[in-house]
Amino acid sequence: MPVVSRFMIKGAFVWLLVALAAGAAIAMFPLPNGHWPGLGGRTAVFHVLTVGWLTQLIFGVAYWLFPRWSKERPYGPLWLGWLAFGFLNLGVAARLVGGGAPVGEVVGGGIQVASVLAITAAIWPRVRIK
Amino acid sequence: MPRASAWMIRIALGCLIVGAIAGLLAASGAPVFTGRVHMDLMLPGFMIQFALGTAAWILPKKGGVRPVGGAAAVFNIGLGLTIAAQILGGGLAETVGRVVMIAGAAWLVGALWPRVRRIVPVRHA
Repeated sequence: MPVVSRFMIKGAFVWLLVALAAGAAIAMFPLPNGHWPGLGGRTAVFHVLTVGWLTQLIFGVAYWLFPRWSKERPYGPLWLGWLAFGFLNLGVAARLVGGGAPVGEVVGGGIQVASVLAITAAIWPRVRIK
Repeated sequence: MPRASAWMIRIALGCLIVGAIAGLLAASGAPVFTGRVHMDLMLPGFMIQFALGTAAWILPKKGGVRPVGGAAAVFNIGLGLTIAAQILGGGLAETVGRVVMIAGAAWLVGALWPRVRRIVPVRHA
């Protein structure tokens, strides 16, 4: 398994625990305006679960399992995988920390779009009909 | 990987990109439908389709493989109809789109179901 896949899958596990803990905290200590000061509310937690956990797990497994790019470079340009990993986690964190303000959602969303473009560029050539 | 799997995964990646951009627009204050389109592109369009496309490629093939191309086409027609209806204001077309999408998903699950089974390892004497 390539190193970037291991980082993605372990990162996904970490976000899963963060999302479960944040969801439980929101349920136990609800705030009148829907989020804690400086942190996102339910929407941000939903994104931690769907992007940080599920999407990152899918990326990590696909990057490892999909047909090889070539014999010389089985996973293609590694920097694309690292770029996707960095942007995805930065984007999820930005949405969670800045999710209370619209600017945090826009910045986090923009970083996530960059992550999605990077992983698609890494995986697309490996989706081949045989 | 089989043709149907490759196309499902490619469409799923397309949904992922367009869905992420729709989510960014929704966060930027774009019209309400962008948020709903974002949800449908990301959950059925990307996650469900990517998972089912990968399953159709990777599940055991011994014992026969049922074709999934028709089911994938029905699923995507339903998805497309749902999203188009949301952009144009919802209504009956959205309900029809969702029903068609569910029918496609059920057909896919039915085709993949028999391939989920125990593999008996071959023992050499």
